Amino acid sequence: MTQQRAFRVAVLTIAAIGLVVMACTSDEKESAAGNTLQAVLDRGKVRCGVNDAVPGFGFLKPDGTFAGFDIDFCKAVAAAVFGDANKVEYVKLTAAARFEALASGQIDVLIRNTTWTASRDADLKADFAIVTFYDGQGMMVRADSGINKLEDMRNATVCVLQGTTTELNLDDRFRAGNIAYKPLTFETNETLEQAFTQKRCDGWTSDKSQLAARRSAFPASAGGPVALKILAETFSKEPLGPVTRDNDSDWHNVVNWVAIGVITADELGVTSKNLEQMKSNPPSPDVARLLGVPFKGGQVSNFGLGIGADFMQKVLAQVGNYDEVYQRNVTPIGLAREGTLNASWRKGGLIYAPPMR
Amino acid sequence: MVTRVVVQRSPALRARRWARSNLFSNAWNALLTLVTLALIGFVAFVLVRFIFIEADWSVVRENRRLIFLGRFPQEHEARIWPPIWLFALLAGGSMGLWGRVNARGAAAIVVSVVLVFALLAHGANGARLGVAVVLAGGAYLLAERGLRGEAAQVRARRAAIAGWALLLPFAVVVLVAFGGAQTSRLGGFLLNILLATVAIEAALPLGVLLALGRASSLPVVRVVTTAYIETVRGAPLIAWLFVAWFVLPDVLPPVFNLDRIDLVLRAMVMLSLFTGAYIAEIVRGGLQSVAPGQVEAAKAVGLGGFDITARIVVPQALRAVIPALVSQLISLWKDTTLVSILGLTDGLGGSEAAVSQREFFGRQREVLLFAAGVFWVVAYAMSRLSLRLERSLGVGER
Repeated sequence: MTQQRAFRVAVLTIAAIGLVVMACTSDEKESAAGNTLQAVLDRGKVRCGVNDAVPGFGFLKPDGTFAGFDIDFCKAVAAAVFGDANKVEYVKLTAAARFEALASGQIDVLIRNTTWTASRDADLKADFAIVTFYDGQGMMVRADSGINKLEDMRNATVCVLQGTTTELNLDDRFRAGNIAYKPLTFETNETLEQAFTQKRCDGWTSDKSQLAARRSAFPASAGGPVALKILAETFSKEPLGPVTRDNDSDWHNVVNWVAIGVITADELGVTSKNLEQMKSNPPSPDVARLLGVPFKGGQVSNFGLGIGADFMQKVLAQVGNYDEVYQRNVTPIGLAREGTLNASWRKGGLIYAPPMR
Repeated sequence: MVTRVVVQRSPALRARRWARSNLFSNAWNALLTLVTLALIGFVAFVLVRFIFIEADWSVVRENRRLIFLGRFPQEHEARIWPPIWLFALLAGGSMGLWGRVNARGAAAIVVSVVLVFALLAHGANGARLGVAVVLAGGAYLLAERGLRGEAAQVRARRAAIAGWALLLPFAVVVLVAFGGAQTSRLGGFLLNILLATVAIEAALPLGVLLALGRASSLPVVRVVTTAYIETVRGAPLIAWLFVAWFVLPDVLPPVFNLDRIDLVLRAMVMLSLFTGAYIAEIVRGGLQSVAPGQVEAAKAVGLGGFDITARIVVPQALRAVIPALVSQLISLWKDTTLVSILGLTDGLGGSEAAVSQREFFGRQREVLLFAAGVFWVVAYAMSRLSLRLERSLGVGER
C-alpha cells in the first residue's frame, strides 16, 4: 500500500464513521408549541435548564454531576413522570440565554434561580410555577463596622456585581432613603470577595442566600464567618421557582403540582424515611390523597395530571419533601430555614401549598 | 598546515565577557538590563510564591475529573483510555521515527509525566497512565532502535500516518458509539480537544477549497466562495454559535435528521465552517506567492489542470503559509472555550464551576492558572510541531 493510498483509505473510513455517528447521535428536537408532556414522555427524559455556579442551588460536583436545591426539583419532576429521578438531561444556561432556550424548545423546564416578574411572565412567554424559594437582596458588612442598618451606611462604598438587577435595586433603595453611597462594581463574586476582604468597600450586596453562602465559607485567615454580619433588611423581592413555556398547560400542571406536592409532604410530615409506613397506613385523608393510596379502604384519588396517581411516592422516595431538600442543600451553605421567609406558613414563613385534592 | 589555537578560558571569565558585550555594552543597555532583571525577578517571585506557598491546589486535585472530563458519565469513564493509549503509542512512535529527543526535550517530558502522575494518578488511573507511558516509551525505542533498513522505516512511517488519521474517528467511536456517552455529556478538556481536532481536520480542506474557489476563473464559484468567506468572517464566532443553537433547528429541513443534530456536533460544524473561512484567506495569500512560472512549467511538461493545482500549486502555497496557518489553529484551540455558552461544560467551564463548591470558594486563581497552563501546554506543543514541520520542509531555506 502506498502512502497515498493509506491516506485515502483513512479519509474514507473517517467519512463513513462520521456518518454513522451522526445518524446514531442525532438528538430529538421538540417544537416550541404543543404538548411538552407528551414530548417528554416520548423522549424518556426531562430537559431541565439549570445553573452551574450558584452554591447550594445549582452547581457541579467534582464527579461532574449537578447538585443543589434547584437540581432537586428537576429530579422531583423526573421522578414523578418516569419514576426515576435520574432521567434528567441538564442543560447549563447563562442568564442571558435561559428564556431563549425555553422559548425555542431546547429545554422543557427552567429551574435556574429565576425571579418571577411581570415582564418575564408576559413578554418572554414564560409561565411561572409555585415559588419554591423566597430570596431577596441583602447587605453584608463587617461585624465590627458599627453598621446596623442601611441608614448607617451614609457615604459608604458598596461592592456589587455589575449589570445585574442587584445593582439597580441597590440604587433604588439608597436613593429612596436619601443615602449617599459609592458603588464599586465587579464582574465576578470572586474578585468582589477579594476587594471586600481587602476592605476596599464597607458593604457587599447580593441575594441573601448567596451572601449567607459566602459568609459561611469566609476564610479563617480573614476572621471567619463571625467577622461578617448580614443586615436584617431585605430590599428586593426575588421569588424563585420553576418556569415552563406559555400555553403548555398539561406540562405546566405536572411541574407545578410536583413542586406543590413536595411542599405538601412537608406540611403533612411525610418524609422519605416514613414513606413506607405512611403509604401502608395513612394517618389522614390528606396523606392518602398525596400518596395516591386509599384511605381506610376508600377510593384512590387521581388529580388527572396525566402521570400515575402514585407520583408523589416516587418523588418522596427518591428526592424527599421540601424540608429534606432544603436541609440537604441550603442549610449546609449557612442558611437555616427557621425564621426565614422559607419556613412553612405554619411556622411564620411563606411556604404554603394549595390543597392537593 | 594550519594549526588551531584553542584558547581555554575559565567559564566564569567567559560568562563575564558575554554579559559585558551583550547586557552592559553601554550605560543605556545596562539600565535596561537592570530594570528588566528587576521586573523578571519580581514576576518570578510572585508567581513562585503563589504556586508553591500561597496556592491551595486541592481544588484542582479534587476536581480533576470535572476539569478534564466535565459531565462525562462516570459509568463510561473507562472509555477514555483506549484513545489515550493509541495517542501515546503514536506520539512515542512518531517521535522515534521523525524526531530526535535531545536532553532538554527528554527533561521536559520527564517533568510533565511526573506532574501528570502527581495530579491524576490515583488508584486504577495510575496503572492506566502507566500503560500509556510504557506504550509511548516502547514505541519510541522500537521506532528509533528496532527498525532495520529503509523499507522498514518507510512502512513504519506509513503505519504511523494511517494511525494518526484514524485516531480521531477511533476516539469518537470508542467514546460515543455502542451505548457510550451521549455527545452532550462530553466535557472538560476532553471536549476542547475533540472540538479542536475535528475542526482542524475539517477546516483545513474546506479552507483550501474555498481559497481555490476564490482564486477560480469561474465567476459563479468565485462569487459564491467570496460571499461565504466575507459573511462568515463578518460576524463573531459567538454569534455563529448562537445561530447554531437557536436558529439552525428551525431552519434546517427535517431530512436525514438534519434539524435534530446534537449540540456538540453543531458546535463542531460551526467551528469548522468559521475557521475554514479564515484559513481560506491565509491559503489565498499562499496561492498568490506561488510564482506563475511554476504553473507554466507544469503545463509545459503536460500536467492537467487538477494535477497542477493538487501537486504543484497547493503544496507550495501551504508550505509558504505554515506559520499563519498554525497561528489560526492555535486560536481555534482557544476558541473552543466559547462552547460554554451553548450549555456545554468545557475545560475552562469546568474549572470555573469548581469554585462554586462551598469548600473551594475563593480558589479561582488556582483553577484559572491551571486551566491557562493546560491551554498553554497544548498551544506550545502545536507551535513546536509546526516549527519541526517547517524545518523538515525547508521553509525559509530554499
